[in-house]
Amino acid sequence: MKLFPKFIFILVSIISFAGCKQEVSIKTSGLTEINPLSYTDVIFISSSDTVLTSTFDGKIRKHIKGRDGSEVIIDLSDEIYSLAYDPINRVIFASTLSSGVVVIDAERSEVVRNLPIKKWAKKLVYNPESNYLLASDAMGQSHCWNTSKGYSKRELPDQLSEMSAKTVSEDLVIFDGPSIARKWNIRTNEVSQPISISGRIADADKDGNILSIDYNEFALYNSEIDSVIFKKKHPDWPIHVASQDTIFRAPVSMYLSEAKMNNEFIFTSSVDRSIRSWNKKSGEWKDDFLGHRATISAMDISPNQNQLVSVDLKGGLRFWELNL
Amino acid sequence: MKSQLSQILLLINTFVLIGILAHIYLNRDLELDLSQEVLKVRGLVVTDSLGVERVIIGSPLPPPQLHGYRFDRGENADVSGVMLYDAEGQERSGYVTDNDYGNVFFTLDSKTSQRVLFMVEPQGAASLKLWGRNGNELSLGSSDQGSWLEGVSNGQSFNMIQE
Repeated sequence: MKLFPKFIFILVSIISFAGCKQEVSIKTSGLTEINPLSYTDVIFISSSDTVLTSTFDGKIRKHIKGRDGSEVIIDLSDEIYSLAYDPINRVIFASTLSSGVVVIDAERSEVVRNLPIKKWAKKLVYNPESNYLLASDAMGQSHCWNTSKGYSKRELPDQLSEMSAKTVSEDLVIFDGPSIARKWNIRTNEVSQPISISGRIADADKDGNILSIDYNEFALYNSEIDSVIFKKKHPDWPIHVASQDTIFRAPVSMYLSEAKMNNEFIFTSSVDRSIRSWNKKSGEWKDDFLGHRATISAMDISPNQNQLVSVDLKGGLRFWELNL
Repeated sequence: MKSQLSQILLLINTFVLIGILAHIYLNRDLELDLSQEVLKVRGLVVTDSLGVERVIIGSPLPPPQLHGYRFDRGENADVSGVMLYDAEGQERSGYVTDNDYGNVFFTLDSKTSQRVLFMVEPQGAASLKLWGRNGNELSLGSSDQGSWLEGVSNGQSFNMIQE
């Protein structure tokens, strides 16, 4: 009982000395220039309906068509620019600002490896048949890893120096350089003669056709005969007038942000917030896909060729059925 | 005697404790009034209601980004000042000084590229450049060596000030 007053005295003294000083902290953050809403990439991880998205603030999410919301697979706390997926080993590859190319176990949602590069890579190119992952960094240096052999690096042919890997079609990786493209056969290590291209490469198909974007114009090239099949622009800018819920079409062709193609059609997205489809053989305009409320930043076509998915810079994600 | 001393101490401590608790309770909503203070910071970010960064004051400013991809300004190309971003987070304007040579810039950008550059160099040369598409441009400037107003319109070069 005698100890009680002493205990109280000590306790009050501690509170008096330690507790009287009020600590005030201000929440701070870095200068990031980040739009946390913006999707930076989208890829299918099944034949259709299921996709992965990446965001500027470092989250990878899984979305399933018809279901509200999404599942956060992992938060890398780093900017993510591009995704690729290995469906056999269920591994996600993500190119980031500060962590190089991050390898993620999709089942356990864990980072299993970091593939270092000097500066960030805009685009990842993955070929699941040959297990080669390619990335071209902001310094213009390309990297190639064999994912089935402990991510060992493969040297690229000299002709591909200062060129960027942009897309893959079967065994052919298409590299983009200043006004030229080259095709590299992963199996034979052969590099094609330069193909004259204006703008940047967006997609390629198994017939050797290359789709490129040059500001507000896209072109389909037949790389076998090094000639342009056709060039097209979005014919107008469909402006959504929210107050009247109508579309006003301004006669302006705006910058194209992305282009993809399947067996029959070409799909182009733009700063004008629309996607247009075009007949791949004739170049004839086919349809408008309207509904996004911000610049469309990425698109992907499902492996079964029947679905298109698109994401924008304000958190919009849309699936489009391609029964055209 | 000892018991009495303990009771006095206990009473004093109880009052002190009540006083501290009252102080904490009365100051639970702390309002920082910095209106009379000078703040020294490396950066300031203004976000909109959705969290998109719309104004950044910083030194140095982060590398620019376009449609979900960041660009490198290059070696010794850092800038400091004010940047404005649109609702999609795209860089649209800057009022900056560079961290090396000593230029001061004011820029206005489209959603994809710079279209207006107003610049003064450290030795005093001042210039205004405007870009359209397809090579169209207009350049206006003045320096110790003279003045110029020239440009390109639909492939035709012109110079409005003849030497």
